[in-house]
Amino acid sequence: MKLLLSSDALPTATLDELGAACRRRALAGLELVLGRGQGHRYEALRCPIEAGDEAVQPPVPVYWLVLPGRPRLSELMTWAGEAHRLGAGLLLRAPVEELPRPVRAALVHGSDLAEVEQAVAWARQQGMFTCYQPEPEALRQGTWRMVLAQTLPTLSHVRLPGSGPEGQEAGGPTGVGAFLAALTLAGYAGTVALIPSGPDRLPAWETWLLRRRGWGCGTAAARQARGVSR
Amino acid sequence: MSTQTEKTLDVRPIPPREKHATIFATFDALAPGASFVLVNDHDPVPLRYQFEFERSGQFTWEYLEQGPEVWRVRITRVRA
Repeated sequence: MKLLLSSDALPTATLDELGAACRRRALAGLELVLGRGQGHRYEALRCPIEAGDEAVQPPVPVYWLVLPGRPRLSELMTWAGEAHRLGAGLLLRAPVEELPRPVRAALVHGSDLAEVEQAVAWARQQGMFTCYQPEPEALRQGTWRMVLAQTLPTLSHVRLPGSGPEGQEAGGPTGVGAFLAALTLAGYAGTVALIPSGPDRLPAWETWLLRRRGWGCGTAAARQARGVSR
Repeated sequence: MSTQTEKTLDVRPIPPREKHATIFATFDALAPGASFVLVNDHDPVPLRYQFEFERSGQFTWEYLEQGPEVWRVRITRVRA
């Protein structure tokens, strides 16, 4: 299991700033979200003049490029080529029937079981993968268990909300621990990207990613819960 | 010996109050002789003391990496 940072967590950051945040938190690399005008401006690659005719060299490994909506075939071809150059995969929000080879792609799904079934069927038909983005509510209520049972054989990436600064501020159980334990026991060897659970949490993520401090210690939390000062 | 398929539990994204419970639940679900690699952002010495207190004689503890950014520890459930 490799931990990644999603550019969704720092949407105004440049590529260098995202790389610095990854290094600060010892994360393996990035998931870059395209098509939302984020600060990394990776979309400029599609315009050779803007890109200066030079290939961008990311400061840390890029594992996934997240495509918006249903991409046109020309966009798919462009980003498949770029993903191949980076050694990355493409995350799709909607199924596509024509995938350029040898691209690696995963279809994102949430916890709706019909959507999961569709994603798993697409992945099997295409010889590709699935990506699970559990909603915070699904994590808290444990409804992810039914989803995981279906998607695990094709699961290659997880977009995980509710960790980082949100975990430190959580007042009650988030379910993140139980979810990660289940992935571990299932032998999951894919990637997990940290994402914010909503736009209102972005200031906390920015503060957390731009400073060097611990992730929060379980021992300290246990002591606090027992009312022990040190 | 480490393999690519070794079970890994990276506890960094887990909220602090859920961390130790998650680690012990993972350990308790292991079959005798099985192991997982714990990944943390600091040396989990207090956790080891807790293991020695609560799971005495049931585990082995092997450091695979000791900082400065990441600690990796293989925790094995010993055979009965």
